[in-house]
Amino acid sequence: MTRMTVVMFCTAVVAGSLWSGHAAASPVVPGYEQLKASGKSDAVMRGELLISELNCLSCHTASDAVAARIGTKPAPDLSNAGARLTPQYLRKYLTDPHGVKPGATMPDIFHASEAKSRDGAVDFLVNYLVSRGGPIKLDESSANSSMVSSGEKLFHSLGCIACHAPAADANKTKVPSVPLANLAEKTTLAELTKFLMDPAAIRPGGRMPSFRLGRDEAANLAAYLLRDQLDNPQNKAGKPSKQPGMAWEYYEDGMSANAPDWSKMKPKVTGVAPDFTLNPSGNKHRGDNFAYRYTGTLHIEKPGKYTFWTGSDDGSELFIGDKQVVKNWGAKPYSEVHGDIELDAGDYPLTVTYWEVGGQEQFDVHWRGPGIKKKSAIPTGVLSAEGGTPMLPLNSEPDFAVDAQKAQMGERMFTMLKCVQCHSQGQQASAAPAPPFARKAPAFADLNVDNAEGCLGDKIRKAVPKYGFSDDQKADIKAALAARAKLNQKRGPHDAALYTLATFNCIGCHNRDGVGGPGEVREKLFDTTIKIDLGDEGRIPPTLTGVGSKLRADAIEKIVFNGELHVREYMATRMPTFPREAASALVDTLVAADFKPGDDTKPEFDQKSVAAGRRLVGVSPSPSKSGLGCINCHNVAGQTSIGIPGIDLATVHDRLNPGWFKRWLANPVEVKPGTRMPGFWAGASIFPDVLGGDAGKQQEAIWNYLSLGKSMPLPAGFSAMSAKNNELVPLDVPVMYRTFVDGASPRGIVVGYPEKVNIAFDANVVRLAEIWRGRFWDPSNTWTGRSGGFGKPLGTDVMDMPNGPAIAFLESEDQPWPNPDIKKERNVGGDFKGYRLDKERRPIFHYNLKGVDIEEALIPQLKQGGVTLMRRFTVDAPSDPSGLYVLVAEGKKIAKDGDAFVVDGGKLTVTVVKAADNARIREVGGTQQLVIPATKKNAVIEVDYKW
Amino acid sequence: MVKRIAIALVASLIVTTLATSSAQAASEDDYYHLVTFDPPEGVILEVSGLLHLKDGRIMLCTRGGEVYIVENGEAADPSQAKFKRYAFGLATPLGLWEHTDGYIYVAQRGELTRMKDIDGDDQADIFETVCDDWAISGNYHEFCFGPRPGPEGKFWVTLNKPFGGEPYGRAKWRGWSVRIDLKTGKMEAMCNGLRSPCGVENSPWGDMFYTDNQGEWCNASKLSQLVPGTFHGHPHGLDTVELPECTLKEPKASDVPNGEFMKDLRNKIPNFQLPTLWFPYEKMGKSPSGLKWDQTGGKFGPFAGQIFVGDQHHAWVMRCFIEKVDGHWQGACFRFREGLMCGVLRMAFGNDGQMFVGMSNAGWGSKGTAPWGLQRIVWNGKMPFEIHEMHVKPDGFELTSTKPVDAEAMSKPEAYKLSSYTYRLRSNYGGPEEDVKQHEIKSVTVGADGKSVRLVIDGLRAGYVHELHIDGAKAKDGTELLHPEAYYTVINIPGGTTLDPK
Repeated sequence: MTRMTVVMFCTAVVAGSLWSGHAAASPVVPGYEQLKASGKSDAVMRGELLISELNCLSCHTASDAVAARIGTKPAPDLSNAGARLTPQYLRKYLTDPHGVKPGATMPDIFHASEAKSRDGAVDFLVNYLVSRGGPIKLDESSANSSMVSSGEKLFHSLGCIACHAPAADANKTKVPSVPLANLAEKTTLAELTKFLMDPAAIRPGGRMPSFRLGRDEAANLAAYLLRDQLDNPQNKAGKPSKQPGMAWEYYEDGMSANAPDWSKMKPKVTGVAPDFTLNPSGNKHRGDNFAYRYTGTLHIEKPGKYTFWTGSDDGSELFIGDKQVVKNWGAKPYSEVHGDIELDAGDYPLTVTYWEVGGQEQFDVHWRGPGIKKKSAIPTGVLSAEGGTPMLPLNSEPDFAVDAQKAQMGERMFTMLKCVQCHSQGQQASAAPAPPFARKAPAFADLNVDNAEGCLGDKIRKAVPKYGFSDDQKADIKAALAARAKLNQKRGPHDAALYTLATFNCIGCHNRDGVGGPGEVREKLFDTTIKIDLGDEGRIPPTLTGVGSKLRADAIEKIVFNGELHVREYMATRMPTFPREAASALVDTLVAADFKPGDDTKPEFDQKSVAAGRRLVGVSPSPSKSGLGCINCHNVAGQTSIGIPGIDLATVHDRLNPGWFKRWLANPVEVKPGTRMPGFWAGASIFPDVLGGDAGKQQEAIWNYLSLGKSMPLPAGFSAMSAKNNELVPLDVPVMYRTFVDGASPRGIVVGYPEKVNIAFDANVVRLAEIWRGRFWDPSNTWTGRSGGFGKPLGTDVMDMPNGPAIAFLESEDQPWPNPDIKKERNVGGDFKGYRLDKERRPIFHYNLKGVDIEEALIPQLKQGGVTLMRRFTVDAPSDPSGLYVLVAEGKKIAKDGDAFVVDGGKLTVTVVKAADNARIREVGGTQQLVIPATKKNAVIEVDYKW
Repeated sequence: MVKRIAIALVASLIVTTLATSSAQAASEDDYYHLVTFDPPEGVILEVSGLLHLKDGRIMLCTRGGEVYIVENGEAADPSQAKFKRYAFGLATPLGLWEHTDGYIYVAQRGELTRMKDIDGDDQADIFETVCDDWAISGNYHEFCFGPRPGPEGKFWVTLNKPFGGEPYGRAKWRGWSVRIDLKTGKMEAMCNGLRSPCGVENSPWGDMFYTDNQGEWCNASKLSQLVPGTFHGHPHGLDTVELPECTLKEPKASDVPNGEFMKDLRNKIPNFQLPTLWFPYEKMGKSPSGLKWDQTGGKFGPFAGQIFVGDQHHAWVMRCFIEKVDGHWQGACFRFREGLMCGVLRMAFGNDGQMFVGMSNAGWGSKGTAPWGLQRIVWNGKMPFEIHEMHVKPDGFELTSTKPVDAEAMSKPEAYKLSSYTYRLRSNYGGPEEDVKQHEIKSVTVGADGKSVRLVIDGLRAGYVHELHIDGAKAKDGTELLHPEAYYTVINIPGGTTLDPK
């Protein structure tokens, strides 16, 4: 086709008199929407922002002064578009941009074209754009559900949802969301990952900032955004990548001593990991009642006999193909089981499973065989797993090939249709002559706002871009145009700051002077990285009111452009980084608006002042040494605070202006309404003995001390409150403590005896949960800070007691023992009634099971060869209880050895000291249990544990 | 001996000089001074419960799980006090009560427990679980406060809601007040919608009251009455209404709107309970804690019958005057005594009618500077010039004072600045004073008794805090008003608008 034909074609596309009738959402400019929602902005500013963000001045040229004031948003760089955009998406999007992507800022050029000519033009443009670096490579991307769920968490916690729609309540946000339509059709995981790691490379305007994502984070986020591709039927054509290691699936609920029925369960998380652990790919399992299944291929180099071991607390299994090689069942303490198998050289399907019912958990896998002389872990190199599902863009056109002629036509159309005005393609802008039909867009100064056929009109003429403006948007643009005469003047400093913050939608997260903030729906998703109540200050990005006075100019630069000085480690949301070239106004306008003379004046530095500051920051029980206790809430030079982990004070000097800091100390609530930071100098100083009680000097002293930065000597208070000093050590009498116990429950009771044996009783399920030897307990989790977190035994030889209670009614002797879900069920062993202390101050627990009172005493016995633990049950029933039993021990194998019962080869040895009836070993569901009937209404049963 | 008298004389001279020089600007210290205990090495008094025992001694419990008996705590020299450990190993106990059955009742995280010393060695020997029917998931925020006997003889506790998302979520009965029958150990649903109800107390006439801390769904700290069957605003505990044993079925979580003025919620949620009074943030309570009625009959100064409320953050004690208007308890709060060692949690009156104050800074910083502490606030018998009571009238307020007033200084309308504002029920963490209005003082009349002042204003607003500042107020003897601010929460206007129909 000659150039003339192209021109004629273009004329056919955009000339004529067809009116558009397509209704679509108006373009979403998030900063504009924030300004509007605040109710505190004027129409002229809003109109200017639309003119900037929709790039109006690229066609309607304006004077330098006006252009500098209003600004412009560069459109995405399309110079390599084909490498990252699929042809099918380009075709649909160019055909109907506002239908495909409601809220898009790109105008519809073909709104008034006849379908046939439009489709032809789009075909040319698609061929042209795909020719730029394309077609997109389709065989490089695969993902799995674990990536999708990690990405979903990132999307909702990092701050993406400040501009984009959250998955829940997407339509309830007050401020409309920047659209992310049809991503699954638009691009591939590999390309989106690349984009998310460096958005400015494609979008130099910085409206989509960088969240400094690592490759894994970016890939997970991309997997979430493209999650619909996981179900693309075309994926069958793609090949899953193989990678070293095993694919794992994580399950919850329904565990018992026996192997779970995998076919009836759905994995909660999946992934691929190099070895067998309980935290594959960093997956966090819960405390109890969970399982893993590992699947992959085992490569055997040398034929021969192989031995495999699994060690687990609780159950595990190992299969090669369909053959079970190891069966290691039971709700039990850690134990190993092995099995042998003859294997030829080759690849075998390998399945290893693990499940945890309750209590402690442990898991490992080993092998031995030809060339592997020692029992050892299976190396990652012989394991391989499928690396997830291939992800192809929806409706992929694998056979698409660029038609060079069409691409050439498309290139010309790109210029003639004025795409190039926004999508700067370098030299092309001037290469093509203006087509004869294309009237030059009027200059900004000459625009007629009432032109019905213009961009703002109701009957937009062919070839004039259609944005789909709302009435409000039109009114705001018209207001800006009406004020045109004044738009060559510079904006006032506060307006300039606000305009810049709106341009980059900083006000999507931050509030400044009552404008902006995430709003009700989005706000809920802003979270802390720690489960501690820090109020909104802990989760919502800080106010920007007065920020140019608060922050040093170089600190703003570091924060905004360099990704440095991000000090709120407790905040889940990540402050993104903006390209310096595009966003330099952020620093200049904020400083110009807020900075006051004196803000940067440093107080006089001397040793005495530093010493006073150090005292004031610290805390001590001694009034002559105590300070304000800043370390109650602030970390200091990497040392964690003694309370909540607030901003590290060693960063203050690098970030803040000293003048602002002094005002902040003097009256925090005035500077930041609602803050938790206490004001200490409302009246006279609390410390008249420090620097003569002079409030100003004391505030300056704190600055001087903090100005030492990371080299500051720590203030008083950390050592005195250090967790190390809290360990409970039973000396003459037993020590007990009721607290959150990891192996038991939130209603845990731990007792340490001077004989160096210790027990944990669970008053929730009502059972003895654990016994151990050696060191007893560190209560620091509940004795410091806010009293949270579960504790674990400090000592050794920790033995989980049976999951069920010690006492139960059985209808028959082969009825299974109660096996509760210890995280959910309560009072399985009866109602907890408390305890009394005997003469040696040992607690004797009391509980009541269906009308029968039971006292359980635990009494260490000094024996030759070590201390044993005697357990005495005293029954008090109104009449002889029928069917009442005591469960003394359980395991895989219990053997009688003289007077003693040996559990699992000596893990535990039980001697029955006193009982009216004989103890008996029974087997139920693969587990052996030692039980003693308690048939008398005042039965006393004593057993002795050696372990 | 001669020397000591001489020192005492010098000391008294100094004191006299100081007193003269500060006669104009009175300070709290001129009337109520602080006595600080310094317990023996190893005794850590993170006081979380305080109790005046029937035998006259003081009992306290600590956040570390210990219980101490304090003997001789009223001695002028605090080093004469003796500390005996009564019990240990409890799970974050946050309140003590001595019952007529001879047991000490203690609220632990997971249960109401009673304990007793059997052999008379001042150490508890038996610990009996009275009730443990509420859920506990292991979140640090799952505190349990109380117990206090209600008029029906059952024991009331308030249960903090857990903080954070999964796995803690919304443990059953968290955010509730329940009462427990001591005979059966069964508990009953009383009120829901609480957030962090750190103080719970039985009033002298039997009604139960509590304080709650500002945060999400509680935009300003408050003192409220625990009227059985009422909902107090926080919806996270409302899953519990689904339990069959829960007799309080309203409202459903979906019934609770987000962002409406508290005062308007009566129309949407029939059992919505408005507060007795709000503590405006920072100006008054930031984290109100224990509350205590002054039943000393005047031994502690002029405020007999009024309520003292501690504040964890400000390390101070506030004072409240409440009155019943159209069936609703409402009233005003005032500052009382600041500058305590650290975050105030609990108060109790000793044998001499003076106040013990127990404190802890653990986990929540305060304006105080010590990590924990036990102090006494002691009245020296001098009469401070304070707003004594603040009554709402159909057209304004009546203030009474602790001393005869300077009628000239007190009758200038321009000396009084009155504004009013209210709060919303919102999911946001704390909220601003909203719909603020500056009021006009139409007239001021000093009463014939010389101790009361009647303010007529341009219209009270039901459901609003009315914040009053008085400039240049003077007593007849020339002393200035010690605390010239008052914050009265008007729920009902007598003979006028009634928000609370009860």
